[in-house]
Amino acid sequence: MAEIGIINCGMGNLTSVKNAFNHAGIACDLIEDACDVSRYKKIVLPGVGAFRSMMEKLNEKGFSTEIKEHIKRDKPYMGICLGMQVLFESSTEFETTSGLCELHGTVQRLPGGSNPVPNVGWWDVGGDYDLFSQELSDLDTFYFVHSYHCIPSKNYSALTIDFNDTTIVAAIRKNNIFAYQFHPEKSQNSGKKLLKSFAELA
Amino acid sequence: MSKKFRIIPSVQFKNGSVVKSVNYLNHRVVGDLPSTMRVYSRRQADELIFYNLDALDNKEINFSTILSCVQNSNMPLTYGGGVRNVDTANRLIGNGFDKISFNTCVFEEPKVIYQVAKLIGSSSTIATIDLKFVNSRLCMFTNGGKKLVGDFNYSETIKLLEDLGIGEVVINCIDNDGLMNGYNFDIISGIPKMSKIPVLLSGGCSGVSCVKRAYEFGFDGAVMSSIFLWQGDSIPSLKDALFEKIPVRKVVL
Repeated sequence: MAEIGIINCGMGNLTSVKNAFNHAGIACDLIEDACDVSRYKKIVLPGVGAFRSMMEKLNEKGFSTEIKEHIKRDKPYMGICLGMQVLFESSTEFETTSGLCELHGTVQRLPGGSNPVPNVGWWDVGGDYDLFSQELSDLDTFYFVHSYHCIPSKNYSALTIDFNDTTIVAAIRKNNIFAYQFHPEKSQNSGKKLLKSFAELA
Repeated sequence: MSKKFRIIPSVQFKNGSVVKSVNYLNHRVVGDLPSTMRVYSRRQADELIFYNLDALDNKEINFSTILSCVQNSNMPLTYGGGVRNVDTANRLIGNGFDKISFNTCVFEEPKVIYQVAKLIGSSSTIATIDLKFVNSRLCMFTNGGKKLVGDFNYSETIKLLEDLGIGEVVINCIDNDGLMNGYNFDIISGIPKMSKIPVLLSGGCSGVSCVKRAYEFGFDGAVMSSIFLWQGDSIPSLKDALFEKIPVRKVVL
């Protein structure tokens, strides 16, 4: 059994995440059954699609309780895209939906302006890289695909981008929670550094 | 911190090989799929669009073949070709594609687009609009450039796509396909300004100067393939030449 388990709640691009870990030489399993979550040292929750459908699936399959328990025990958690957003209290996508409430704040639509929405493409990010990986530098760029973004109501350690004159959260680190709005699994060598540092966590 | 202009190779796949056409005709075999994907991956393309011409005309999508796309890639991948329902789109996403591009379906079964966008998200639901002049009128085509839809009125079309939940659009000029004579800015340069969603352009890329112009007109990225096949350009050489001029992503090793 690998140390890292990727939660399959029936949404999202699991193949890409698994392939990216494997290409980086890191073993990982897919978790199909919520009962297995507690057996893993580290979990990853990827996700693309709508917040509400994701929360429904997490609740229905019993993953919500298990994820909260995992975080409570301060075991490493990586949330990618929707897997980051569901950590917050609620989202206004389609209709207001409650999240896992592990981080304070809400999820809302990206502000309009000269940058089109969805935000698709590569950005360099600002903030304290070291909290996420010691290997990161100004040259690293990350791949984003999203229409909604997290608005924390507390001051978390974060990486950010400037999107349509608004500071948007690109990543949050809180204890052993590593939450990424962008896709480390699609960010080639820059993303690989994040996957590796997650795998190397004690 | 800034967003990078995307340099996006496109790969056309027909009869089991990677091909390249001129004006969507005379498809010439240029390689096999796994090695093509590996080359673009090694050069760290910003994204790649895969057009599966074998799936046109209501033919089945050959999953086992096209999955070598995913297996040999480290790039964000878009799949286009023959997707007509939600299940197929979802299956492609589950198998490792990041975005699905629609063309024929946009005009023939728009409801499907709406459902797909709701399931996989607008940002993964994109459209490719194929344009071609017919008796000096600019028209839209479907079915791989074979079927005429009608006149292209860009504000109407972009509005339709946005209303359906499409999150990005590729504007492709068939008349320039494979000619490497430059994008046809005369007919498409105004589109990004009136569009809320990202707009990519395709068809006729000639290299540095026309990519730079695409950026200046507000396009989000440029799609190209012939210059990598026939002109000796590569993703790193193109990016090196562009780096001082426009924000492109440096390849990180």
